[in-house]
Amino acid sequence: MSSAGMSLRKNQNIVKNKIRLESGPVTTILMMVSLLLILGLMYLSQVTKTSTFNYKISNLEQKQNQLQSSKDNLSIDAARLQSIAEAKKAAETAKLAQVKTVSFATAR
Amino acid sequence: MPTGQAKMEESSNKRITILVGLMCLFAVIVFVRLIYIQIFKHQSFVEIANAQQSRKFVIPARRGEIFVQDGNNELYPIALNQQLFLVAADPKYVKNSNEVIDKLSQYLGDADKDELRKKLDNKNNRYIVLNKKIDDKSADEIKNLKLAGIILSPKDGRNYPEGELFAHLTGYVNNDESGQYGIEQFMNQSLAGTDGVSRAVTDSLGVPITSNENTLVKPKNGSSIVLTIDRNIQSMAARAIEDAVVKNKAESGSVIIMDPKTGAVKAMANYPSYDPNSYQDVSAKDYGRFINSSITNLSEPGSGFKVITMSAALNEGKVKPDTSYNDTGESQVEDRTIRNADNKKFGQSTMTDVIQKSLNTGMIFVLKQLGTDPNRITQKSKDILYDYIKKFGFGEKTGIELAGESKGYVKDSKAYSVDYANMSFGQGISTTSLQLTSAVSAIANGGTLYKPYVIDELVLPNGEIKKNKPSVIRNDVLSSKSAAEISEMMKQVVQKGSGWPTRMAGYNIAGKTGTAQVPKADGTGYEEKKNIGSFVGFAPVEDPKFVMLVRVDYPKVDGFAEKTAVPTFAEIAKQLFIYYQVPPNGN
Repeated sequence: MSSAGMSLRKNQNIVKNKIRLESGPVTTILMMVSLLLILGLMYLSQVTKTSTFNYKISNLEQKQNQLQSSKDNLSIDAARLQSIAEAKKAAETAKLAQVKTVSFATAR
Repeated sequence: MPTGQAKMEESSNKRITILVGLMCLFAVIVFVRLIYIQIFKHQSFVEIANAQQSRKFVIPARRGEIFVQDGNNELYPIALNQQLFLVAADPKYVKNSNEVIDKLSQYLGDADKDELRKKLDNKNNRYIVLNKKIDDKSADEIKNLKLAGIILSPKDGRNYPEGELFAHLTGYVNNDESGQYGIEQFMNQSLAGTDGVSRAVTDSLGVPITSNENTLVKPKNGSSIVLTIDRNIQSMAARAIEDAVVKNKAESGSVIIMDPKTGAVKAMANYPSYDPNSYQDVSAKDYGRFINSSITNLSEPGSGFKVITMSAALNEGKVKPDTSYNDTGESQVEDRTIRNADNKKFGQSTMTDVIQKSLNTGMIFVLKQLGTDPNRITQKSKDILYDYIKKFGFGEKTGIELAGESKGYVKDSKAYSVDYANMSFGQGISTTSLQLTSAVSAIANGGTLYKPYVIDELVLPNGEIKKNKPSVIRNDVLSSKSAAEISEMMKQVVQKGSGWPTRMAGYNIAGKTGTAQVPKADGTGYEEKKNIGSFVGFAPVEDPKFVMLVRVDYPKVDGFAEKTAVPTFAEIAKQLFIYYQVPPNGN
């Protein structure tokens, strides 16, 4: 460090005056109210977000139920169309003849 | 003497003391009351508060489905879930009852319209059910009608895509979502699962709101079931028995087909049947249609039972197939004379003849041989026969997984000799068709009695599969030698006896006919013109693929079982040989 610099440091006022922040009752109340307001707003925002998610979940659940119901109905239609009664009807419509004799190939 | 001021002070002090005392008393009362309410009545008030501030929602579990298989192990659903709707009305909001009834008429079924109109006009009613089960398509149509006061509530329902074909196996699910008859009833707990519960805090209108106190118990869905039933064989059996009942002008009939090597039931068809999709349409006089007669109805087995008595004697070494006796056409037991069914006498006859010609006198001869004196029915004869009847599973439920099974009735060995003489040829004993099929299975497979079963797999909600394994009840019913001997005798029934209509070139079929009389309801003998024709048998004898019982109840055509049940057995057996790809043996 240069000597000029040292002298400058020497002459520096090293006494620090404490800044005293004082608030009166009105300021304190205002601060408390603001804090409560901020916390309230944060809480409200979270609750709204949760409710929105709940609504979305409920919507998705409803959609899932609808899809499940559609799937059930399609399964029933498919099963009905593949049922023995339907197969019998189809065979009658196509005038298929019943098997009367069957020959088995014999190994030599 | 106290002065006036002192007197006043004393009086004032007294009043203050009384007031303080009263206040203390009041404080004690309040304190005690608070303890009572907050400690002793805590739970009850918590419940009241919860009831006001929260609601319970039931989350229904999904019912398991039921499947059958075919020869390639492909699965086919026979009971599926379907969302249905309940239609109701709130008369307070119904403006014009005539309009509502006219517009909804196609959805009201057989409801009495005038009665309904009266109910709708009564504004004090707040809830009238119009139809408990309509599908979603109809529900949409009703919604589009925009009728005031009409309520549509979703509810779980069941659909049976094969209609009548499997009705006696599945049963149905009633409006309370409880299984009735068949698998639906027997396995109701497994199929239904456990409903879930959601408890949520609600606002003043009862609408759920987000809260940490909300709880959710998820539902546990029911398990699905795969049956051992082969849908193609079931179809063959159902068609054949329907034809047999119609052709013989009979009241009813049934067919059971079982795998003799496992006890797995491949088909169980009864006619008449019902459609489980519309079980409500079955009228009160036809409620018998709900019953699976193969496992519930009891009857005397008739001559089909002769193979059981003969098996006992062969296994005990008391007779051989060529043991002979002199058939005089009748036999005296105590004070009764018992005759052959056709009132004929055949002279010198072997045991094979006894089975082939179905001789009642021969069975009494066999019963006598079981005891200590071959010339009469002794206590030992009865003890041994009773023991074999039990070994073959009669008088006990088989344990099949179907609701409504009967156990039958077998007189114990303390009964009269004449009772046992009758039992030896299938009279005075009551059995189910399934019991007889199961007993003949034990003959077919060489002497092992399997528990008949219809559940092949249980598919748990997490996808885990629990395979049902064949269960041996006992493996010492008969020795393989005795089983082979009785099988050969039963083969002769088809080759030379009453089972002739089922004779097929290249196939060895063993069987026994039975034409059972029907006891009168008052117990005074038998009905004159009623009988039950049956044929129980298996094939091919050398390596049985199936055991089958065909039963035709109260046919109105003349003749024995060979005219009613045997042709149906033959028809199904012919199809089964093709289906199982059993080639003829060239004999």
